[in-house]
Amino acid sequence: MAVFTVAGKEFRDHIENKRFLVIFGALLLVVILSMSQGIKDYNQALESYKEMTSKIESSEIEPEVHMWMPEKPSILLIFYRMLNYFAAIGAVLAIAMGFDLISKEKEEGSLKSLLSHPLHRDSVILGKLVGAVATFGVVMLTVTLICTGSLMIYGISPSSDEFLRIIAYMLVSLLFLISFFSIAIACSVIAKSSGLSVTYCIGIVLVLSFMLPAFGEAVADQYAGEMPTASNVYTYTYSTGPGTVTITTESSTKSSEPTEAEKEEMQKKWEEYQKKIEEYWQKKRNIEHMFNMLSPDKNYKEISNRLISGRSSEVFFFGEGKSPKETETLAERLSSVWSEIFSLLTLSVVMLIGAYLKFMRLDIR
Amino acid sequence: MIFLIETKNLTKIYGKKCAVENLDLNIEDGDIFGFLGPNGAGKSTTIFMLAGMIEPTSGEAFVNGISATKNPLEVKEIIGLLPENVGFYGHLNAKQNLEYFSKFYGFNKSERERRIKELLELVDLENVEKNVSEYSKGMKQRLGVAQALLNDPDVIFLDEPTGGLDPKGTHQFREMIRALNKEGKTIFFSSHILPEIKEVCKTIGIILDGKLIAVGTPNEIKRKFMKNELYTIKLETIDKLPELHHSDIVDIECDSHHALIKARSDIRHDLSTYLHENNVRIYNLELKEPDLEEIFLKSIYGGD
Repeated sequence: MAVFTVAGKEFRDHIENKRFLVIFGALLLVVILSMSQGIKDYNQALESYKEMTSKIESSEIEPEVHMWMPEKPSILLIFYRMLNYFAAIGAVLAIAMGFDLISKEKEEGSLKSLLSHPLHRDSVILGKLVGAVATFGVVMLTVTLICTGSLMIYGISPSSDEFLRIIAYMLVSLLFLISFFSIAIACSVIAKSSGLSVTYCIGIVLVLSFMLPAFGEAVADQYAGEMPTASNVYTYTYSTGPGTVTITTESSTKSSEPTEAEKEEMQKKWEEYQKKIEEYWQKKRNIEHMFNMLSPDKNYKEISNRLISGRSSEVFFFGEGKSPKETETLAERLSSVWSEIFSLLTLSVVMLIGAYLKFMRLDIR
Repeated sequence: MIFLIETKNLTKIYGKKCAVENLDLNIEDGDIFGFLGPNGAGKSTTIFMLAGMIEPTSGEAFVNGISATKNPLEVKEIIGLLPENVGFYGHLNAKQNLEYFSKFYGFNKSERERRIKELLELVDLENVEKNVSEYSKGMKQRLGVAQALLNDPDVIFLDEPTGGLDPKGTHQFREMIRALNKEGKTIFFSSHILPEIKEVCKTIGIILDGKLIAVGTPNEIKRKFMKNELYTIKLETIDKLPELHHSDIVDIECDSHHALIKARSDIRHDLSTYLHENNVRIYNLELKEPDLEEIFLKSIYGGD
């Protein structure tokens, strides 16, 4: 099959390419360093968890505080430090692999020579895609092996759910690499030279990763309006069940215990305020989310955060939202970020289809 | 008659520009066909359509009866193409480049190795180990020939093959083309330089702005373009020249023993008969024909 012949050559080219080896080396170094730091973080978190557990068992802490106890730290905490580094270097790696894949062949004239032999045009671009995905597969496999190897060295064994989450995280990382590669190869097909192609790539990445989210934030601020403030609410402290709540006002502070009527009034105002601010953040979040959906690295970080820590990278002040629950299953975690996964996938598919269609009509003379 | 290469109303339009317009070509088996035209005339587009690499806007192209539009892969199996400014994978050496291209044919490994060895010997690159990025233009061109011959094709398309070659390289290239033709291969040779075409080609087609304006042997082409040209006849006599009259004479410059005649046709026979009848002995009577290059330049480039 011509596709696999092209893919085989492309795979070898990537693996032997100095540019790839340098960036891949940097990525592995960062993975190793962040894993070792992550393991340290995990051990510290585990220590404090054990300390807390022993304190509870010895009844040093009040019973009502038990409900607010941190859960046993997940092994996935180890991967948390890796996330940002991987997003940055991975994006550079994917772009470096794809930006001149077609443009260089056009410049050097090898595309004409290649297409004069019995293979269809689509075999060329599909072969290049398969070759790159196979290379990304090797990258992710190496990263996974380093990660699991590090865990084994430190005697940390993940549960079956944690193991599945690690695999899911690696697969999402693979999808992230493919999404940036798809941008790069689309630029490579469109641009007349490799220099132009890399310029287009940087432009697109800047727009998708920085400008759109920043613009989204500005639009959200504008659209959501003024942030509601808690006015005419006296400061007082009372038990709401687990823990205490303190409400402050700009006007004054009442230090004496409020009457029942006052408490009722305060509770009502507090609930109204809570509702308003919840609506405010929800509105803001929805707009920001809409813009962030177009950003592959925002999506990647959102999905990864969800898989690794259970937390969303978005800020929640109040309400349930996507609150962290270590007990969530992998399916629950994935379903809560389906829109981000869909968006990452859509970006890759759209870019690849665009590159494919343009390549099929490319003037190769 | 069955032609090895055939096009019927072949047309290719890029945006608003018509690169090739209703091209009808018929090239016989075993021919060396020279496709002549200035840069941008549509030569490469025609070749790429014939090689199944570009889809025509309309019309058809056939190689050995196989439609290049409908069955491009089948056509590619029986042709070899040396594109203009042929390029290779610079990080690979000659053998590795040929190995990659040969994988698209149904050769087994030993067949592939044997063929590559033969071809590298043919183009004198068998002992060159360096990567293609370090090759000279001539070496790349030779490797280009090797890659075009990988499948032992029936038809070889050469697009501006001698562009950038030094005189020695050009000579070697011509020899190679003749040798390949002797082996029975049909050669389709495009160039914008007439002497190159004239040197090796049996048949010539001239393309201008995407239209085929002439096709035939070099002499047929010449006659076609000579239609509106005047013949120049140089006459020298031993005896004194009489007054010369002929209906085809347009202009004459003469003295007692010499004449330079511009005529609408070749009137040498009439002149010699007339002079013989008048007992004038001829010292020299020659036709100064414009050569094909002059006619070509005048017709295509307006004499520049």
